[in-house]
This record gives sequence, structure tokens and C-alpha cells, in this order.
Amino acid sequence: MEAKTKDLWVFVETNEDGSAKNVGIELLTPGKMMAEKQGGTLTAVVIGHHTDAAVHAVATHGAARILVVDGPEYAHYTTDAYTIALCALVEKYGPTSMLIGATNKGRDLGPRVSCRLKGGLTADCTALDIDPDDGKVAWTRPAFGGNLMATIKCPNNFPQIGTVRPGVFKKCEETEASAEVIREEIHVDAKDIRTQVLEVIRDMNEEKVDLEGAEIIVSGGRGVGGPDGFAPIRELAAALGATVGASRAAVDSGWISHAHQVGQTGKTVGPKLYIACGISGAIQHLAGMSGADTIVAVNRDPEAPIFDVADYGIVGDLFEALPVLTEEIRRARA
Amino acid sequence: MKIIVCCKIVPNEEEIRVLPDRSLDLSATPWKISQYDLNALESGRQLAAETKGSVTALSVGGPSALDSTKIRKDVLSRGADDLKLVIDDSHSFSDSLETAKALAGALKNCGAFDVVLCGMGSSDLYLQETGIQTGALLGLPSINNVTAIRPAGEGLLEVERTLEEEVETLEVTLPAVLSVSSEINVPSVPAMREIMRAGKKPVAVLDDLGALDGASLEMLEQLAPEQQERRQEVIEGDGDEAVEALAQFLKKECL
Repeated sequence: MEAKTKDLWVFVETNEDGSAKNVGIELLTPGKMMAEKQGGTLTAVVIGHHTDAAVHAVATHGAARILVVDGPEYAHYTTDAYTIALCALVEKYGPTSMLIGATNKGRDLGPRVSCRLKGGLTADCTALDIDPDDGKVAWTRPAFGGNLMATIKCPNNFPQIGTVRPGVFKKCEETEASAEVIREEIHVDAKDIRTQVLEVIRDMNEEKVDLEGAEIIVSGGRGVGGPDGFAPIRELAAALGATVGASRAAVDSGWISHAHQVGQTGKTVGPKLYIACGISGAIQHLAGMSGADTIVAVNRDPEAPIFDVADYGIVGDLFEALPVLTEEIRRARA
Repeated sequence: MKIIVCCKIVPNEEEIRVLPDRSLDLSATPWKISQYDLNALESGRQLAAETKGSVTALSVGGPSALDSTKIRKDVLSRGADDLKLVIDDSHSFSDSLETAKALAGALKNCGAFDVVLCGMGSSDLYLQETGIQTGALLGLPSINNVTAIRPAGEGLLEVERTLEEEVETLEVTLPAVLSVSSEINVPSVPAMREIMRAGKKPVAVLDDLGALDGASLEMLEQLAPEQQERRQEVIEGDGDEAVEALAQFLKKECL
């Protein structure tokens, strides 16, 4: 379809309690820069139920206009209801581009919407800009397990849609709200929703693991050998005030929960210090942690690729080295 | 239950060479089944066993990937009863919408099916959207990040979908397209008997009906990320002296 305006939209995902997910607020930061370069209005789209908290949050973080669709059929996310609502808005208002947070729901909604509007979608972007020559969005994303950064344009379809990885952009400072709020009534027939939500269990047992915000991360891989092998890693992490990370090999073996995973299917991290223990350094893991300021590796295999990206390495047994190192750190910090 | 598993053949990212000008050399890179599609094949195998159903594997790609007997046997040794291929070198399948159009075209040609399973993303592009786009193009429901699948009576599946902070249980009407998470299972290693049988299973090459209208995205630039200079001070041995030196380094540089 054609763009009717130069507006840039940010889709803001809501939680069950009607508050905004962080990534939606984060995306208002690049959204503002892009809307200015494109000469359009930064518009936030909030879909959910009892969304006042989300509307307030976007209004105080830079949105100039807010489109709100609020109704019981949106209380819980379903692909069909959200796709119908978002497509109806796009068809009515015709934005030139749209950013969606690359959460699981965002990764579901984005392609469904873009496909229905007969366009492509650039997924999981880590950098955004506007081409000064034609005003189109230049989307940058990693590919080939992090071997490649590709910059992509969506030349012929509007809106240009991309999903953006959470944690890449920072929320802007809170300001006075001055946004124009437009409420749209869009009702979705129950028969048009082909998946029924039977049950939602909030994962209360799962520990909160803040890898993205961590200053120091101590990670374990296949070399830790089993769930008990994470004990010396946890002890070193405790001594350093660090967060515990893991490679896919350790997570897939069931030794530690997925919340700890760093790499292509896990988190992308950028700590001051990353200590990789028993991690060989598969490219998918490096993709998630090569932005660390300092990388330390402990591995028995001198040929392990992790040493190629390490600032400091020990070729040896982590079960010998870590307890001694933990003791040293404790003594230094005592 | 008739199950179709989509699998992509990709360059093995572990063996990609980065050239000094930051471009990639794929000329000597071997092909492999995209690792997340191994989870989809495993889910297909398990669901077929539970429902006394069948599994067809479906792949689209260029001839260098799909003409390989070794790759075809590899797919067929992982629970699929037969393999259908769309081989086309006229486009690169570098864009998931192109891939989805080719898959949707092929699926219209596969006869009736109950469920299409995809991996969570391909290990080369990892856009994580091909399954959803395929569902959208066919007008079928799609669900991503599926972490459990259970038969739930005629024409229905009960599906568990894991989000960042919650786990949903959904009921979906069939046919549907499900993208399974890499956490859903641990793909089994094919037994020798399966590898032997794989060579005798049928392989059909279909016409490409889908991706006729070209790419939806345009590649402006592709370069390996700039690598930070690393000091690469590596000490052999885990004796106290080595560890002490590391502790000194950490105290001085990082803490």
C-alpha cells in the first residue's frame, strides 16, 4: 500500500495489567530521531485493555500522537485480534514506517501484519537510520550467526516495518505529556480469533536474570560438565557481584535455565567484564558477547576459538582455577 | 495427523571465512540443516508417533544446497517419511518473505495437511518470521515460540507458547503453522537403521509456484562487524601462579 503520511509509528506492547513494556518506550528514542529526519509525527500505537498506564508512559517519553485501541478482546494477546486492529489503523492512517519491539509477541505480530499489507519486514534490528537521499529506513541487523551485519532497505512497500531487539536503545528522560490522544474503536469478532487462550501462567519461580544490564558476567559452557559444575561459577560471580551467564550447550543440556543464555538464541550483552568458563566460543555465542569491554577465557582446549576474542586467557581446568581466583577476589575485596 | 516440517539448508556458520575487507567467503563452507529446524523435525517425529501420523519434510533453496544426496539423506534420517523440494537458483532466498512465498506455493501443492512445523528461525538469517509469513500467506493461524504440542481432539492442537515472563496454553484450530522453540526438545541423533532407510525414502521435486515477484527487501551493505582489538594474553596452566596473574590483571584493569 501507499504511505499517506510521513509519520513514524512505534507499536507499544502492553502487559496484562495495562502498563507498557519497556521496549516500546525505548523505541520512542530512535523513533523521535527517525520521525524528525522523515519530517513526520512520532506516533505511538497502544493496543490492550485498561491501557491508561501505558498511554501515560508513552505520552511522557516523547510521543507526539498516541493511537489507542482498548477493549476486552485485547486483554490477552492473540495474533488474530492484534493483527486485525493494527492493520485497520495502518490502512486508515497510512504511516511511512513502523517499529515493533522484538519480544516474542512482537516477532509474531510484525510479520503477520506486514504480510497482510503485502510487504516485507526486517526482523531483530540492532541499528536504525534514515537514508538522507530517499528518506527510507536503513535497517541494520546481524546475520550468519553474527558473522555479518547487514543493512537493508524495504524499497517498494509501505509501511516499512521492522522489529528491534529490546535493550538496544535507552529510554529518554521523562518529560511533560503533550501528546494528542486518539481513541479508535475496533471490534474483533470472536469467530475471527482462531487461537483460544486457555491458560496463562506467570513464571514466578524463574529467577530474574538481568544479563543485559550486568556490569560483570561469569558464564559457563559445556566444559562445566553438569548442573553441579555451575557451583564454582556461581561462587566467583557472587565474589565479583556478577550475573551468571551460560552458553547454549549448557542450557540445552538442562544444566541451567534459558534465562541465563547468552548468544543468538539468548541475550545480547555488553558488560565491562565477561568471564567465559568452559565455553569454546561458537560463533552464535560470540555474537551475544563480543561487545564486552574485557573478555577473559578459561578453557582446557588451547585451540578453542574463545581465546581469539579474549583479552586474557588461562588454558587450564576451570575447577582448579576458579576456586583460587574466587579466593583472591574475596581477599582483595575484604 | 499429516505433518509437514519445513527445513532450510544453510551454510555452516562455524566454517564461514571472514576476509580482510570484512566480506564473507562462503565458497568452501559446507551446507547443513539449519540447527533450529532439527527441533522442528524432532517435534514432527514425536507428534507423528503420538497420532500415528506421517511426516513430510519440505525445503526450498538453490541447487547447490538441495541437490546434495548427503543433505537429503540427513533430512530423511530424522523421522520424515518423504522429502519434497523446491529447487530454484533464480533467487537467493535471502529474504524470508520470498522463502515464505515459495513454501506457501509448495504447501498448496502438497495435498491436505494438518500442521506445518518450522524451527524458530534459520541459523543463517535468523529473522524468525518465515513460519508466520507462510501462515499469513495461506490464511492459516500461526503460533511462534512453541514449547509443547499436544493433540487435543479432532482438528485441534493444544500448544504451549513461552513468552518472556509467562507461559501460555493455547488451543488452535487446524490446519495451522507452528514455529517451535529450540527449547522444545533435544533432537535425537539418527540411528544407523534410520540412516540406512533414508536413502530409500521418496524425494519429489516440485515446481516453484510461489516466489515469482522477487524480493521485498533490498540489501544495501553486508559486512562482518568490526572486531575490537583484543590483547590475547594467554597463559598455559591452571596453577596458582597463573591464577594469581589473572587476579592481578582483573584487579588492575577491571575491578
